[in-house]
Amino acid sequence: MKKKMLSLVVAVTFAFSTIGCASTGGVKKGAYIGLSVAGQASFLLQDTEMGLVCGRLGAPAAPLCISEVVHKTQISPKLAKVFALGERASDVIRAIPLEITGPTPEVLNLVSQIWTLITEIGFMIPQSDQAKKLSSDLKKLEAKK
Amino acid sequence: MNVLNVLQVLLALAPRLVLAVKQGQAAYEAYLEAQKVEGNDEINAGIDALKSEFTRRRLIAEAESDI
Repeated sequence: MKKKMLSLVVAVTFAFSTIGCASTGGVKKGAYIGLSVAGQASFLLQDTEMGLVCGRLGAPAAPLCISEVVHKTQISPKLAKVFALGERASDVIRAIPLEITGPTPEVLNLVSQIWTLITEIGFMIPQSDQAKKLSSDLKKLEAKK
Repeated sequence: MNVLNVLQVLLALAPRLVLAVKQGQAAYEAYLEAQKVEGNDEINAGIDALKSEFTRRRLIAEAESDI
């Protein structure tokens, strides 16, 4: 489990390090890799989130499902923003000449915004009361050390 | 903590934990796949495909939104 979690950190770190780094095959390719990684994470987030909406086929029961209100008014608008940023970043990257070696702050900024929104949406995915209690108990144990 | 406790904890953390693990896999696979692309035309083709998918998913998200 830790290995798989680590793979996300490694992939994101590599993806960010390739944006604006000419030594890994060019700035344009680095920017493309960074956007691809953010894109796949956001696509999976949307697929998963839509399958967790309360009452939908295959969705878990409360409290592990996402309420229709949260889905419609909070998560979907944020996802729409994520994908709009992805479209904008695609246009910017496509316009970068292959031979350019300078930094690409606009791409880095757009991809950073995508990751920020992905993180925000991730925290809207429900966690059960049991998990919250466990987290609270662990914090109490840590405080006793 | 016995095996049953561990399973209960994992179930309690789901689906956020499952999502995090799946995102890790998807991001890493996307990274490896994008690494293979070479040359301006191939990169542009990849970007065009990525943009199309962003657009398709934005339209779905807008349709799912209540605003």
